[in-house]
Amino acid sequence: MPSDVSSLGEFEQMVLLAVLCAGKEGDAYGITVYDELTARTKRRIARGAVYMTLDRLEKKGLLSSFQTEPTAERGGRAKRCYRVTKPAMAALRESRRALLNLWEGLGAKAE
Amino acid sequence: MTSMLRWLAGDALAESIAGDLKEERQRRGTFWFWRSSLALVIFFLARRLRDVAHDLVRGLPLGGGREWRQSIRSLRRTPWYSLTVIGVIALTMTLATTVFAIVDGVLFKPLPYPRAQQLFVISAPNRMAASSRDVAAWAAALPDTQMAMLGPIFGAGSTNEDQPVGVTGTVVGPGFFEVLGVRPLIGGFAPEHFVPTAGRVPVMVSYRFWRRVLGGDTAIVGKPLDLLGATDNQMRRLPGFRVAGVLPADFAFPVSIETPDVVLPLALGPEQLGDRNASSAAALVRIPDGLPAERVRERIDAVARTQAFRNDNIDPEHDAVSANVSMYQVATLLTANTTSSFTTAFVAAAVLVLIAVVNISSLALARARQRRADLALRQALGANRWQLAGLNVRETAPLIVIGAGLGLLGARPMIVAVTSVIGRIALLKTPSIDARVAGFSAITCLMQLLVVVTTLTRALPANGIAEAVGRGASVTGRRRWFSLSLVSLQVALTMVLAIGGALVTGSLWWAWQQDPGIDPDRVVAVNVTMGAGSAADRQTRMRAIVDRVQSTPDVESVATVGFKFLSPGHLYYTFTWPDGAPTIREEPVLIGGDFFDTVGVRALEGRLPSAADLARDADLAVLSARVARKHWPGQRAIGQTFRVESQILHVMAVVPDTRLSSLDDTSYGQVYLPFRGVPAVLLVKARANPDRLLRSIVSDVRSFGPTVGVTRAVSLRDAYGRALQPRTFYAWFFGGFAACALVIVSVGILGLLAMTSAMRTREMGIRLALGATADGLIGLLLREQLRAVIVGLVIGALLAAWAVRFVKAYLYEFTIYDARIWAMTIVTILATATLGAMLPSWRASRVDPVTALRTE
Repeated sequence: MPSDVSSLGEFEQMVLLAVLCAGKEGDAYGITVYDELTARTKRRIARGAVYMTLDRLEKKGLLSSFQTEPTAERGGRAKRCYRVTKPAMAALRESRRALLNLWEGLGAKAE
Repeated sequence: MTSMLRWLAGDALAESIAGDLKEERQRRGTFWFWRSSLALVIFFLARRLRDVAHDLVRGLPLGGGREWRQSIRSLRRTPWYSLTVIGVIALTMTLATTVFAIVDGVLFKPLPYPRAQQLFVISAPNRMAASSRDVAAWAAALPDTQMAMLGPIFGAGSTNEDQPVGVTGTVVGPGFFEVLGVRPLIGGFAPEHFVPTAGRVPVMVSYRFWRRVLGGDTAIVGKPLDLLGATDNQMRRLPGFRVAGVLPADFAFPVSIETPDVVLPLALGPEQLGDRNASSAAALVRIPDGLPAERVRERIDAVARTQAFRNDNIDPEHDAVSANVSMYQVATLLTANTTSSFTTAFVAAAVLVLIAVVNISSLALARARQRRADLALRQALGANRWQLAGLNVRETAPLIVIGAGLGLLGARPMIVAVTSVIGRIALLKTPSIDARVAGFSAITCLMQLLVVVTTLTRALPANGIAEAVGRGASVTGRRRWFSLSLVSLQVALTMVLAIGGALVTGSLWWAWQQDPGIDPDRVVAVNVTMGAGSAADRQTRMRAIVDRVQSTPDVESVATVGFKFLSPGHLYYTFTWPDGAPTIREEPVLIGGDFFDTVGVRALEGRLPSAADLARDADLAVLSARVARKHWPGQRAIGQTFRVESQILHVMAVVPDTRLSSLDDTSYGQVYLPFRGVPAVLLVKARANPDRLLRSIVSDVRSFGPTVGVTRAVSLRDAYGRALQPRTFYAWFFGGFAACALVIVSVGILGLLAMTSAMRTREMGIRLALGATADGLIGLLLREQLRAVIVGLVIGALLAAWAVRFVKAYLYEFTIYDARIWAMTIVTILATATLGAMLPSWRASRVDPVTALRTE
């Protein structure tokens, strides 16, 4: 399982963090993850890129998913919800630690 | 949509996305749902294409130098195939590159302003100009927008050269270039330039003017610029200009695609701030993102309603004038006129590329069939489809690269030729082969390569061993049908281009056949500007010029005209006829001197006025036949009276209708009136060579001092040609496509049939041995080809019947279903295709049966 930071791209890290944020409020699935990403990063992001990254992260073992009961609101389709796995959490913490160390190295110039 | 997503993204992901979209649809609406669904499909499709391209590049064995050399040797063994493919690609790429170089500036290249979508031009209600004070009030109502004034384009004088050229100018207010987001190439306006001055007026010059007239002098700022008849936007005589800066090369003036040569600062004194005539201005506005344009228009409208914009010169019956402010996006103002025609030209170029691709594919397929034993043997020995596709790339790419290179070389002179007939169609960018155009050519070549290699690879024999051991000696029915369907497809696409091209070219020919109603032979027109002085002074000077020209030995007669001649547009006078309401639809022509003798117009009724009559009698008028018939049907018009404004005129003669603006001008008939002002144009009839006379007249006029200028000197024949320039341009464009498509289709049929006939040598030998005659064989091969051509013609006719609506705008007195044009086009395509099929059929029929039976 990859806990190595170098195997995670910037966008993948953002998606993982968005899954964590969305998961705090309720289900983390396509819509909520996309909303978290666009609201917090203030960037224009292609919806397709989010779905593709979620799929890729699941294949890498950094996310796990489960399906809810199908609902009429979704045209009889189930919701695919995601959870961040332990190796992904470790990779994210590692990334954060590395970045913070680098910023601290800058001292007053960081402001 | 879901099934497409399933195909592109896989079942599980597609189901999840479809559910999310459905859920969001309740919240965001149907439009959002379809837009997002489409965006997702495009996203996944792009990813899929990228993956395919990646696999292709990684998996395709392109081979090393040895393999490439082998492939080139193989191409040299089939010179006709190689030369035909190179020729077709070169021809297509020449035209496609030329079209892209021309349409790029209008269809694809972003406008030369940052965030161009924020820029709008606002003009006052009732076709009025806004004063500086008006615009200041608009700006005060919209503190969050940037606003500056800009004026119309006017004639600012002419250059002092052997062939004088009119110089166009405009005025702009402070902050204009800042609102536009354009930085001058050199220098620029300073705040003090917007203060009225009695001396030389500072001007920014266009890049083209700077290079052509000022020699590209980089130290030009501050130097004087002298023009003949230099005037400002109110036609006031100026002491001259001083260069304040140079505009960038890609500068485009926001209200007109024709960039003015000089830009003057709008310098107004305190007493002129409220004077609408002094500024003749509109406002350039940059609206920040998030503020709807409609809101801006409403706010300015509210202010404008308090500013009393009343225009008594509008004819409400004929003039569609808005009582509100008009607001146009700059992008629309600059490209609206040319977008549709350039889109049509671009689509025509795409069709031509498609014809070429089909053509090359069919030729390559025929060649592959000739080599089927070789290919099948490679397959039988273990070569997989990827390796054979690599072989196809090696054998197709050199031909496409050489053809495209030749096409690019041919495009350069072609662009020069097309630009020379482009005439009044102004472009945002000078057509040239730059990086964008070269990029377009490269993409087109790659697409051609991809299509040809894919077709060849898909057509590889399924069972290599069976093919290799000799079952492939005959052309199977399925393959022959495929070849013929490719011929039909080419013919159908050619038919679409040929009909369009023939209609536009036929229209130009028809326009040239129109009788102008005057005799333009040996007549020259010289536009003269008189410069400073009172009206009486300028009239005296003009009379002296006319006398000087009249005394030249080569001159037969001289006439004067009060308004521009053979130029678009005409004067609007209000005529009141005895039979009804006032009208402004007739074309007034203000004349003096021996006008009717000079232009060769004879009277249908009455007596034509002489130069003396025109000078003496201000109340006479000459009508063209259409005007006389309209107002006095079935009666003699001679001696009848009508009014111009308050003046009563009597009809002295009736003459045939004439075309004084252009040969394709459908005017309303002419009313010739004696002119007492200062004439603008001299019309001179030469006894012999008008070109030599033209030079001597220009120098005669110039000898009257520096204030007298010649802004145009042209023979009437040339002037008629120039007036038809836009039509000529489109005829070149679409006619060129049609001719090119015809050449490609005939070469394609020739090449295809030559190869299929060669493959059927054995069959021909058997037929001859069994008693078939040479004529019979020719007939057999021709019938097969012509059946495909006729199927193509029928499909092409159906397609063309729909597509011709796009050339309707370029037709003159032709309907899009003109039977003569359609019949002529069909006959031409049939003849071209028959010619292409005749030679190989004839060669196939001359085969020796014994040799033929030994083949394979």
